[in-house]
Amino acid sequence: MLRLIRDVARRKGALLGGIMLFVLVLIALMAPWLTPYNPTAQDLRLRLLPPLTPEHPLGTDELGRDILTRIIFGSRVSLLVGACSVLLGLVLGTLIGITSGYFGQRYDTVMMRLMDVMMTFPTLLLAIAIVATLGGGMFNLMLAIGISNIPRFARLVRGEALRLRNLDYVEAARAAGASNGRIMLRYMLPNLLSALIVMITLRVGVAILVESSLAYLGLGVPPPTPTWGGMVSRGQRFLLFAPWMSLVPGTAIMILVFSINLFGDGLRDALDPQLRGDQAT
Amino acid sequence: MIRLEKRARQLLAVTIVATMAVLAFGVGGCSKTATEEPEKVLRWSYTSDIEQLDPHFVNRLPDFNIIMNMFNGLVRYSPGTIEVVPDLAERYEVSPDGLTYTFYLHKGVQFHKGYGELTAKDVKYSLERVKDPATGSPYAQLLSVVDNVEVVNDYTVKIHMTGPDPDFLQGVLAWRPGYIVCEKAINELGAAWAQSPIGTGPYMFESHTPGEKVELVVNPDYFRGEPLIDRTVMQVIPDETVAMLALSAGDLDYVIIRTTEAFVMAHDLANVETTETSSFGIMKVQVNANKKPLDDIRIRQALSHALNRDEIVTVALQGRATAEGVWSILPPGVWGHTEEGVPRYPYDEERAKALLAEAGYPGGQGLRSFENIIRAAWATDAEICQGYWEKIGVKTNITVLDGAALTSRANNHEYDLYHLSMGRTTPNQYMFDFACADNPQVCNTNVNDLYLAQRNEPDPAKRRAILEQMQRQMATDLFQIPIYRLFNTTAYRTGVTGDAENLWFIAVFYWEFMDIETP
Amino acid sequence: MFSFIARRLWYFIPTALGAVTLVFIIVRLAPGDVVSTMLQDFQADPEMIALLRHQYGLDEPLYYQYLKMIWDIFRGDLGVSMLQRQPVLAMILPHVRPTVMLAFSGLLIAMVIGVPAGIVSALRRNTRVDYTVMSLATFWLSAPGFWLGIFLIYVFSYKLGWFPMYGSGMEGTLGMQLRSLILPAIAIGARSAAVYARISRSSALDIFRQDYVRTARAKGLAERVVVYKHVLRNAAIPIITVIGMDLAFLLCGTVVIENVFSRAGLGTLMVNAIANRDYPVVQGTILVFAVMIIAINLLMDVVYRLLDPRIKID
Repeated sequence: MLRLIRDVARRKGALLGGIMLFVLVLIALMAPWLTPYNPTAQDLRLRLLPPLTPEHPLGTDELGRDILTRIIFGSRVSLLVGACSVLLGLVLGTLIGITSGYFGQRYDTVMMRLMDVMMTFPTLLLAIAIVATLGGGMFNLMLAIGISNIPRFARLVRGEALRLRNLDYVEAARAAGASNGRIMLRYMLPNLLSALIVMITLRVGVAILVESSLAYLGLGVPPPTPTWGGMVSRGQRFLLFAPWMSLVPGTAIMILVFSINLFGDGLRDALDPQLRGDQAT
Repeated sequence: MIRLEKRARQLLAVTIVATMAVLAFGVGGCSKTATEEPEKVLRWSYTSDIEQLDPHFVNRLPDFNIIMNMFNGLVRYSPGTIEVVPDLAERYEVSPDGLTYTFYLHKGVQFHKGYGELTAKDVKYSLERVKDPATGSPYAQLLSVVDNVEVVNDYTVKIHMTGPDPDFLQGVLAWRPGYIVCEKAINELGAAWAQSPIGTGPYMFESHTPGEKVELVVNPDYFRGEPLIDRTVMQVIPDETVAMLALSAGDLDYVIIRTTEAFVMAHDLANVETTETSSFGIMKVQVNANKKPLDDIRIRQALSHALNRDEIVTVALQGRATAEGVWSILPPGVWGHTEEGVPRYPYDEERAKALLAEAGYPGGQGLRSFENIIRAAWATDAEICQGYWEKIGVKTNITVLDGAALTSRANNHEYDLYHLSMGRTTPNQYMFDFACADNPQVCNTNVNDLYLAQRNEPDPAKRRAILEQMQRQMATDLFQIPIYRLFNTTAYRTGVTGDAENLWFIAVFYWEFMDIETP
Repeated sequence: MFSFIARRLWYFIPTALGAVTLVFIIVRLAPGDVVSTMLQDFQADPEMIALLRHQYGLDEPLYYQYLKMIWDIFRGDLGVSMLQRQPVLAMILPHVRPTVMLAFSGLLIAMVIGVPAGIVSALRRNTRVDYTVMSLATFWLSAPGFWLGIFLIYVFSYKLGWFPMYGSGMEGTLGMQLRSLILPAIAIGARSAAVYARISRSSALDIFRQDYVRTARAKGLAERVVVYKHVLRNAAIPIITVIGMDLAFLLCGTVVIENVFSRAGLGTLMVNAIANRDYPVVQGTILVFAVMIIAINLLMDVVYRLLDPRIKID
């Protein structure tokens, strides 16, 4: 573990990404102490103030709420939706994928058919169906995006598992009498990590964008809870006369996606056994 | 291996060439955009596509806007008002007891596309079609007062009623169930009827490109004379920012504005004019007084006193609404409206806080969070209210629902607060919400008796008196907290003339009175 | 290969059935039905509601409704829209072409830009080229389609007048259709291009580290040969996996782009049908989606087998 941290820290990009992510998480945790305003407190007289106004460094929205405050509080929802939905997909998807790839046979067929069924509901449509059914809300949104992540992880992992299962060292482990669970956990999972990490970094970004798209279609986290995606979609309608309303949260999303990618890339390189000896850059 | 590699390279080359071709084709094609058509075309937009064009089923704005220009009823609303004037009928008589209506039809009114002359038989068929449960029209119940329709001769028709209905002309015959359809066309067209119907109105259906546009052409044989505009195109443009840009660029002529942002944009665009006409829809919050503690009138009053309506209409809505004339259930312009003796609960934050404290919840202490259900298009309204209520210590959580879920929950009374705004024409339609069966919270008040009494009162003076009493009583009970009266707002290209300003009460417009200069 | 394809086609039936069953459950769990959609505008008596529900067969027991739907589908009948009262298939068909065109042109743009950019990035690892490409990729990854769409419309349609402001031009000539397609294709393809660039880069990097590439390099093979012969071919599998999944996303995730560019499409049709509780239309569109996605998956599996004969798919 320590070695992993050292490996990550040795890579400048990963270090930067890690620090940025850490700061973002810190901001989310410390939100109430970072700003004098309440994210839902309105003052219509202060409507649409541009950025760099003394009291409101990032301006205000159409209901006179401080945008910086809403960005700070919005990080909570965005990070939570991103993390939880990916975690849900990652855990269940990997479980299904690795067992399918490893055991094959009937089990694989059934599972993959099930994944196909789920895949026919692309993220956005599944989210729309779930939100329309259960009502909007952060938890339902996480559930919807998370469920749609399952088949994506499952298919990716299964493909890799198919390849790994026939490799010499897995065969050797099997010959040595290792249990199925042990083979999967000890010998196959570590080799899946690099593929998974790329997927994770992608899906966190997707989760936040889906949240934003749902907000655009009127199905996002209900107001007045601030979310980055929701702010971008609301701000889009003001793009031509109050562009900061969507540019500010858009930049926040970009910073988040960027830091996840940087960190993910670094982590992936650090985890890759073949690369460990390489001179880190 | 090498063959594969070669093939891959070829494939790449082909895709690149194809992409270039697409780009060249596309950019090259744009030099010839302007079509030199001599005909006058009105291009207007709406945020969603039509569902169907059967007048007896229609319940959405774009569908209705097209239908009202394709069909006629026996009577109709005079443009820009809800006053009833004859339409297909040259004149009509109502018996003194209100039980028989006699209509004398225009002679020589032709259905579109050679479906023949409209006669009294079509009137009988149409009204019976709506009434027949097998048709499945949502308007069937409105015709339950009709006993039978008698064809006297080809141009005279009598409607016999089971009882008097003072709103029959205004609320039924001039409304959607009153459109006269062609039996022959319905039988011949079958399933295609609802998509390309036959009417008698100034415009005829031409084509529908699903998800994109609906085209209508002028009816040269229209019985009031051929209108000036030759063709209308309804363009589906879901994003209002895009609609405004298209209007400014001259790619659209007329836009019915739905959001404040588009309203603000329209004011800044060159070559674009805007209108605001008052509507009959009052945006209000229905309070579910069956649920504690909303049964306490002081809490309802506090909720009302907390809302700064002037600030909402001038700042949040940028002047596209008014806070005047909201306190009576019947808005100004609807028959029976009065403001005399109708109590008001205007903005007064201190009073709101005092009332809360009086009710036992000082500063909102101990009060549960109220669930406010609303449709996505109005979510900002709930958000604005939430902001004001938060100031007096009342918490609300907003649930955004689609139309079907909203209606279902509203009908089952599963909410604390519920935003609604309905543009209607007759007192009965406004008062219907206060029938006991529909709204259990009024059962214990005398409102339900008043509702039943006015519904069957044939004497206008007596009915008006009951309605005035009802308005005072309902404003006192405050089961609905009024917020503002929205203006119907439109933006149109300079050069659109005639009745362009006369947007009708629920934001639809008659094209037969309009003209347009080709740019 | 033939028997493999035949078997996969046979799988289509349970998969499509599963999808339809799932959507049957989901839409019926949603509060309200088509009658509440019809009665949105005004209050109605409870008797009226009951009467209408009976008219539309909504008062039948659920298992009956379900079995009837399955039976109809097997007979090739997708039913009749409750709201528009026309056959579902006739409603769906005009929406297929614009959606497929949008998805494939987005895919084309993404592949032509994304894959080469990613491989170049990998070849020039940790140089300015690499950083630029990856920063741009991050930018496109985090730009929502609707935001990008409005921006493109503002600049290229409104200010420059190069492209139409709205519509898919489906009723016009092929040239008009293509002209209407370019901006939405860019708006939807930008994100995919970024995804492909990242995947291509990391797959290529993976391959560079493999022994056979090192051997090839050590043997003194020209870099170009190494790239073409080993890297591209071996990096293709993960790239194709991602493209296959992404194509499904593109096909159905077009709702937002259709909304901004005022285009007809299957996604919009389905979203509206869900909001209206028009069950037959929802079921019909999901069936069409299922067919398309299963076809894509099949295609992907065939491509895998062609690229890497070691993979046995059973």
